[in-house]
Amino acid sequence: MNDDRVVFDRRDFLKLVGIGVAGVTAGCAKPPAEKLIPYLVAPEDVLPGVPYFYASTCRECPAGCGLIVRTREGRAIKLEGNPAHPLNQGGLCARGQAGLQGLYDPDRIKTPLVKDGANWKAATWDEALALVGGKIAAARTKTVLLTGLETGTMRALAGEFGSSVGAKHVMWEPFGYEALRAANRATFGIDAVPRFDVGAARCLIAFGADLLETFLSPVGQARGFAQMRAQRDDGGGHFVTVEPRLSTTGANADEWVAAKPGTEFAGVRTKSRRSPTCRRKRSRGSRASSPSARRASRWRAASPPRARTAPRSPPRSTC
Amino acid sequence: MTKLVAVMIVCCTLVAASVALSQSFNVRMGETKGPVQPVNFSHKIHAGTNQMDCKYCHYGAANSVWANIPAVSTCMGCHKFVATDKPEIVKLTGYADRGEQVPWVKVHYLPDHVKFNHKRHVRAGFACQECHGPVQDMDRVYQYSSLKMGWCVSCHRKNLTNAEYPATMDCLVCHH
Repeated sequence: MNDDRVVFDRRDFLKLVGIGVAGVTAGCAKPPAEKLIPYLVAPEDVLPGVPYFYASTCRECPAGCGLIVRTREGRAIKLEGNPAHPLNQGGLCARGQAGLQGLYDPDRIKTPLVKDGANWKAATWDEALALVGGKIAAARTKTVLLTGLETGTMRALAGEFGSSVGAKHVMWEPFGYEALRAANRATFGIDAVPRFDVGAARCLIAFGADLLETFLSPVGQARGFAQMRAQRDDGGGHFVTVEPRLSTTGANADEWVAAKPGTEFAGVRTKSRRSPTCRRKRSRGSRASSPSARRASRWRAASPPRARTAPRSPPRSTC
Repeated sequence: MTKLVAVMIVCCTLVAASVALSQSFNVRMGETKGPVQPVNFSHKIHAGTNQMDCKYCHYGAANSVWANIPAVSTCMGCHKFVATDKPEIVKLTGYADRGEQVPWVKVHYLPDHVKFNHKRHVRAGFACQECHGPVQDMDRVYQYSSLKMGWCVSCHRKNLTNAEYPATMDCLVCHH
């Protein structure tokens, strides 16, 4: 191409385009004026910019750790463990910390959904309540009120509501501690998920219970675990795990015993004879007379025979 | 062909630049003396002539990181009865009656990477005017101080040896 046929030479072209881009940037750089929206009627006990703290209970798992919720302008912004709570004593696990993610999840269900064939259709609360009311009235006694795990007043309220419409209240726990509940019911006559005083144990044997990860209250148990381990100077704090895979809990144990799923209990006798701490503890008291042993035998009697059958292959200790 | 493309590119950028600059010109020049507010509220009348305490409306200044913008109900506390026939008050009453908040336009901008705590400065005894300028003489509020880092630091440096409330030069006092 000849120079005389060009309107701008390369340098002028770049200069002109440069001026243009700079102009656009300068003109559009500043964002449009922001608005400051005040309250219509200011709540007396809320001052914008000042956080307010509420004590609550974590419902991310059935353990129910104590929470302190930091709120700003009526919105929860941070969860921390409540130091005054007996269970977690200020700690809060990753699952609990992430509880806010559920609250502000953009994909969370925000309206009632009505099943329409294979699809779910969004409905208003009025529509949903009318629909449910009609169905309850029609079904009358053959109704079940299904909720998540509720405790205390919420459970009482759900129960009252259920009985007022002739419905049975059924709770669903994603972590499913029904077996533990049943064992507790059979052993102690209390229908509740137990809390283990891990800190007080001289010797601890865990059968497939990953107590430092998800089993019951990992935060409370981790605290207890540290306490239990502190007795090691005077010969206590021995920890044995019997489980099918090497979990984080197993990795923290003194002895890890591999067992096929379902055969964890078969190794009890072998194991406790091998462990020096546990043996000492056991030989001290007379076994049949101690209340815990009586409870244990009652529990063994109540449990289905499958748990008592001998394993095909005896579990092997790794140490 | 090349010639045409070159001319078009140059024309497009220049036209876009002139549009952007002319559109933002009024906003930019207007804002040197503060943005136009939805209700023409005068600090001069309230804080100047009537000698109202700043903290009557901005009651958060001494207790919060922000000096709050008063709620519509705070305005209506007086203006239900005071100067109800003035056109700006009619506008305000309109907002209150419709149950709408007044969309005040923000005047003071700090960069997003710094924080400022009103409470600490007010409690240390600084008058609002030391940063916000003679608000009691402003019909329309504008940003009086630059609110740039050098401006903050110069005052902090002066107060390093303040007996009661010594200022600090720690970066994290202002920066996140």
